[in-house]
Amino acid sequence: MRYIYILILFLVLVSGCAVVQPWERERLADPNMMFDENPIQKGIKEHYINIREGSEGGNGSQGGGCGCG
Amino acid sequence: MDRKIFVILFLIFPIFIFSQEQPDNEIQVNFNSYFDNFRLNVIYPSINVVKNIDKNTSITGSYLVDAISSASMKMVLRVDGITSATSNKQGGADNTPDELRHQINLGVVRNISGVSVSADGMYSIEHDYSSKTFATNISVPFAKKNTVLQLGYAGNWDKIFPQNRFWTKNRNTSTINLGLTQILSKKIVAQFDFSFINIDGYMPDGYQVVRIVNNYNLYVLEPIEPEKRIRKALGIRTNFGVSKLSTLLLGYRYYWDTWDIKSHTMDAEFKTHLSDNMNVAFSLRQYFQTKAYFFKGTYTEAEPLMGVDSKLNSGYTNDVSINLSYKGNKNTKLPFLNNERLTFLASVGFYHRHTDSPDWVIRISELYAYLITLGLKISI
Repeated sequence: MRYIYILILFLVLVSGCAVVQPWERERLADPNMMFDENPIQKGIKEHYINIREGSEGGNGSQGGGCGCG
Repeated sequence: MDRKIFVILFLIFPIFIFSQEQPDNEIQVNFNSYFDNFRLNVIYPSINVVKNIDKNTSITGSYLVDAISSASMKMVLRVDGITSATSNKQGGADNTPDELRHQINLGVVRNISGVSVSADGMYSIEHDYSSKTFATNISVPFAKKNTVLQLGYAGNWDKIFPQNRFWTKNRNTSTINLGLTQILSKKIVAQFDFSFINIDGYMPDGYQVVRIVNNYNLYVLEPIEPEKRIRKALGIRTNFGVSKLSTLLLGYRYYWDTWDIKSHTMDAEFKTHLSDNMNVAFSLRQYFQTKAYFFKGTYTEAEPLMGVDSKLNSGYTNDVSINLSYKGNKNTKLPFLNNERLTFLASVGFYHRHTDSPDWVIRISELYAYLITLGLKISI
């Protein structure tokens, strides 16, 4: 639970950041500014990495199968 | 929190809240390939469809096939008593491909007054493994969409039934993801992610064996790994608009688990528009990890816990890739390239993994892998 409390506290803190208005988001609207512009390719990459390394998570991805690929 | 309560909470919560933009209607076809110096070759074509069924709801579906060579060992391994090495031909690399995996996904995304809610189901089957997944996710924007909170839950139910064993074993996984995306300025956006993963059940690969080498005696046993693992990861990524055409993404992730594996991952990605229709991305990734507390490169006697999987070993990896995309332009005279409904994708990657002791079967420490993807997106 303490991680949830930390997240909520963080949410409260970042809510105090300067608000960027919708009409000021031209640069942010560029598809290159998206974190996972192509989730399909991201999923493929995560799949082969997860079965070759001992770590997982922290990036919102999910997968299944034996992970042989 | 009880899993059922969590799922119910996610299904009810959207009723009380509010929606964001719809994805585009499209079909994406990918042809992916993977080749490495461990003699593993994988070809995995996939097709993905996104279709909006009304202004607030879209459905997704995908189908993927893995055609794999030498992924599974067809017999309990015979080992060379002198080198303790195993020829890959004894394990299943004699035919290409010798294994197929089929995976199907179906999902729905619903936007309700600014809040995006999704539910996905996945089923994966091969001759010695099956996996079912249910995942749900909710994204809630705050502060004029400057802040987006994401919560996700996924349940995995896997069955392992190797060809050379007489048992079927289960592995169940519950994953909770918390994410926060925050616009920091007109050119900077950051994302924080936390994952909590709880796994219960049979953990090893069903085909691995532990070689016990004691003076002139050599025999093999099945690995024994703990039947519970709790994994946690905390990640931060920041995307900077470094110019009108280019962006730089920097990321860091720290991971730790109850098997004593700790890891650090650093990511960097530079993306730029080469023209109105062409985009290129260069990615670098570096990763370091410690070993699981029960892992050993060699065993001289049977122990209560024994693991040989290279991903439980200490080591590091490097990953480099280039992605190119081209959206059709009607001013181009070449066929297909002038179709504005088409986007062409290409990706080339190189992956290197070093482990601090040799792999359990191939008996080398350096893995070199090459990945090539060709894709086509069609707007429908």
